[in-house]
Order: sequence, then structure tokens, then C-alpha cells
Amino acid sequence: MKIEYTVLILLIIQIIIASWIFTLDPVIQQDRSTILISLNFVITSILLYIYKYREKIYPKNILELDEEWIVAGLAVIIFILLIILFI
Amino acid sequence: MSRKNKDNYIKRIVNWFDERFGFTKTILRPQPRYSLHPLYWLGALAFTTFILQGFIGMILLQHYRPSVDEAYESVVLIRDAIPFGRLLSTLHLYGAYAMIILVFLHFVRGYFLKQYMKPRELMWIIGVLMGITTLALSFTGYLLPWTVISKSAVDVSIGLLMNLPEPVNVWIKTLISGLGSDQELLSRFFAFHIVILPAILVALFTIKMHIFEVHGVSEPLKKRFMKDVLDYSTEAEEKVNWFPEILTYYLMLISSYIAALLLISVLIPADLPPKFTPEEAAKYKPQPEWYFLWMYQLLKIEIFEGPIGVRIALGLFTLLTLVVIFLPFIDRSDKVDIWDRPIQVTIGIIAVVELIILTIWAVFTPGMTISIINALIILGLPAIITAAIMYMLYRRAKRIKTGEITLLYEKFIKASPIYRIIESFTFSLLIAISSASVANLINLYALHKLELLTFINIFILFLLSISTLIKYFLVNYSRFISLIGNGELREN
Repeated sequence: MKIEYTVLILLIIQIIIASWIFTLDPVIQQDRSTILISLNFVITSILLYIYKYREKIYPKNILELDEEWIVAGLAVIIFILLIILFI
Repeated sequence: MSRKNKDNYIKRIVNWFDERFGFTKTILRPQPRYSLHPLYWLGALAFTTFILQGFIGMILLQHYRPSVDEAYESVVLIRDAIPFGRLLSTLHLYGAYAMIILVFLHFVRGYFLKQYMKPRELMWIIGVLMGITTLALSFTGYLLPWTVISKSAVDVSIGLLMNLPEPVNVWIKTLISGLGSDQELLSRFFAFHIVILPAILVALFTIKMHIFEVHGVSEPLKKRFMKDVLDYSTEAEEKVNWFPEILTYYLMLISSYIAALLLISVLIPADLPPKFTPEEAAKYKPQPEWYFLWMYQLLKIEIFEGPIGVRIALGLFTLLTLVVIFLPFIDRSDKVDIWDRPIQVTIGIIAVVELIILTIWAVFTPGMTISIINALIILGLPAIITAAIMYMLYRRAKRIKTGEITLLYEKFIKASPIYRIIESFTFSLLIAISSASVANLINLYALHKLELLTFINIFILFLLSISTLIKYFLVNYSRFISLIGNGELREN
């Protein structure tokens, strides 16, 4: 999949999450809102990562990935866990 | 408007401002590529947390009432009725904790990498003063909710300071609590927390940033060391622009950091203890916040009991602070590499180990007086073990340097991927076991269930697990040595 599509999908997810936050009650449902805000920050981080390394050619072997990739990978794992556990 | 014209238009606006402010020649100038590493951003993250704390504080300020009768109720109102109130109050607390941890890591890194060397001595001194101000900010903010725990902790701290010789104790008391009424204490802490200390922190930050602008980012340890070994200084340094590289990297770090803070605030919400009343206070054993626990635990040792003991202890703390502040003028040696400074590094590691032990120990022994024998065993034993491990490590490192031992890194890097994964997994697992065994040891000790046989068993388990940590250090170190040996400077 092209990187542009990934960015587009993440941006759409961000907009959906932001809209969702506005529908929630800021007092009673503040925990859920906070998780969604956190999720949006994680996506922002991934988007920035993609932008920063937009011209990089990624290695195919997973063991050759550098430390920032590990951070990005962890961010994605947190991202998925958040969706599964809390929403 | 075509894309090209639009770019030109934006560029012209940016240039217009740059010609007047000179940003790209000062704070936004290109920086070396090696600075794009989280460890180089600990200070920046700490100050960003301070800014974040400022914004959250401004929102909380609109609802908080600094009066003994209303403070607690206003905090309850913030938590229960204000939109995102519970999140903001928790985030304000955890932000303060995060700031302390970041400042501490920044400080420890500076110590081990000897970043206080000429010409950065004043930067170090200002950094330490900023760290003390950060602690003071957290301490003053802790009282503001007027809970039984925060008020009791502050009372204990003030009580300790009153043991200082006259007229110093009178000056301090007048400064922080005026004539001594509760309302005056709260009002002064409030003023310190929202105006005086932030202003001091911003002023110190400005001076520190000025020095940073003059001297730039400190070079990584490897590079500083290489200068002595090879003719490295002639090599042109690769620089990255402020936009997009540095800005995107910073925003990426900040986004992940804020996401983590938000998540922790939800998963571990901070409870609000009961309101302070003398009756309620009688039910609690006063304990300071976790970042002062190490100091409090030391004060509980028998030898530091009574007015004279407390004076000696406070004198020692003052001496320790002065040593840390003036460290650049005490440690004058020109040795930079960690492997050339065994004594300084060992002292640093022992200090960090003792700090952690004292903090955990204090959590399990609230209000208990510590006998001198106990203190010697609990504090002395880890210090001796750490010193012994460091001695062995330095000895082994020396043998690697002289080529007596095969380079572990070479073995590791040439091994199959599965072996490397298993190795890394085993390492993580053993570290977890060693942490658990230390926690178990302290817990059993606190519950007075620690028998000699159990102690020996757990201790052997701890030593076995920690041995992998030593190996890990050696792997990294031998990588470094192999680079020097081959005359290569490539990054792996």
C-alpha cells in the first residue's frame, strides 16, 4: 500500500475520533474522551514519523529496523490495544 | 494560486520575519544529526511539561480558591463538576511527577557523560538550580488541595527546618508561613507556586538557553572520545535543518509523551485524600511525596534523631547540594570517557542505587525509626555489591581493550536472528526476575518475615539475573572497542 493512502486513512480516523470526542459528555465520560484524545496524539506521532521519513526506503528484514521504528511500532501496538480494550 | 507561487509566497513571508528576528541564525539554526535522539531531548521535554503545567494550572486557577475553608471543596468541585476537571487535576499531578523524573534523568545523564566540563560549568550550575526549583514547585503545589496527607507532610518538613540554628529557622518560617497561621501558610505556598517559582524557573531557563545557544549541543561521548584517538575533528559534521527535521522530531516526541501522560492519568487516576482536620491528621502517619522519601528515610535513622542529629543531617544535605552544584569546579580531570573514570561512575551508580533503595524502603516503613545496624546492612550491602560489580566490569573491560578476551559484540552480531531474539528476551526476563527479587526482599524485610535462608536464596537469584545485565554492558562496550580497533566510525 502506498504511504499516501496510509496517511489519508490515519487522517480520516483522526477526524472521526475528534468528532466522537465532541459528542461525549466532558464530565461523565471524561475517561473515554481522554483515551480518544490520547489515541489522536498517537496517530499524530505516527503521521509525523511518516512525514519525517517520507523519502526513506524501508528495509524488508524486520531485524534491520532502527530504534525509531521500534518506537513507532510500539505506538501502533498501543494504538491497537487502546481500540480493543477501551472502545 | 499555483503551488510554486504559493511556496514562493510562504517563503517570502518566512524570510521577511527571519531577516528581522534572525531565527535561522540563532535558535532555529541547523543542528547536528546526532541530536535527533530522545536522550538529547530530556531537558526540552521537561520544559515542555512545565509549559503544559502552566496551561493546566491556568484552567485550574479559575476554579481553585486559596482559602483554608474553601480550598479542598474547590478541588472537589474541579474533580466532580468541571468539564475534564478530574483529568486536568490528575494530569497536573502526574505532569509534576513526570517533570521531576525527566529533570532527574537529564541530571544523571549530564553527570555520567560529564557534560559539566568547560565551557558548560555555568550551564550545569543553572541546571541544578532549575532542578531544585522544580522540586520546590512540586512541594508548594502539593499543599494546595489542603488534604490531610499534603498538610501533614508539609508540617513535618517545616518541623524539620525549625531544627536549623537560629536565626535561620526564624527566617525560613517567616518566609514560608508568615506569622504561622494555616491561612498564611496556604496563601504563601499559593503565591510561591503560581508566581514566584515559575518566574524563577523561566528566568533560569532563559539564561540556560542563552548559554546553550553560545555552546550548542554537547557532542556524544563516542565522538568526544574519538577526538583523542583519531583525527575526528576535521570531519565535516552532518547538520539537519530546523524545518522539517528537528520540528517534526520534536513534535513526534511530544505527541507520544502527551499520549502516554493522558493514558496514565486515565488508567491510574489520582485519589483525593480526606480534607485536613486535626482529628483526621491523627489517623495518618505523615509521609512526604515520593521524591522526598529518600531524604525522609535518612532522617529516620537513629543517629539523626533529636535536634542535634537533625542539624547534622540537614548540614550533610546542604553539603551534598553544594557538592552537586559546584561539581564542575571539584571534578577538574580532563578524562571524558566513562571507561576512564571508574571512581566517578561508580560513585554515581551507587548514589542512584541508594536513592532507589531509600525510596522503596521508606514506602514500606512509614513512621518507623531505623536502627544504625539495619541502615548499615540495607544501605551498605548494595553499595559494596555495586562497587564489586563495577570493579569486575572495569577489569573485564580493560582485558577486552587489550585483546585478551573475544569481543562479545562480534559474537552477538554474527549470530542468527533467532539467537539474538532469544538473547534479548532472556535479558528482559532476567531483569524482571531481578527487580521482582529485590522487591520481594524489601517486602519480606518490611513485614519482618525475612529469614537468613530466604535472604540467601533470593539474593542468589538476584545475582544470577543481574549477571546478564553485566553481559549486556560488555556487549555494548565491546562494540565500541571494536569500532576503535578497526578504525571505523560507522553507525550500526
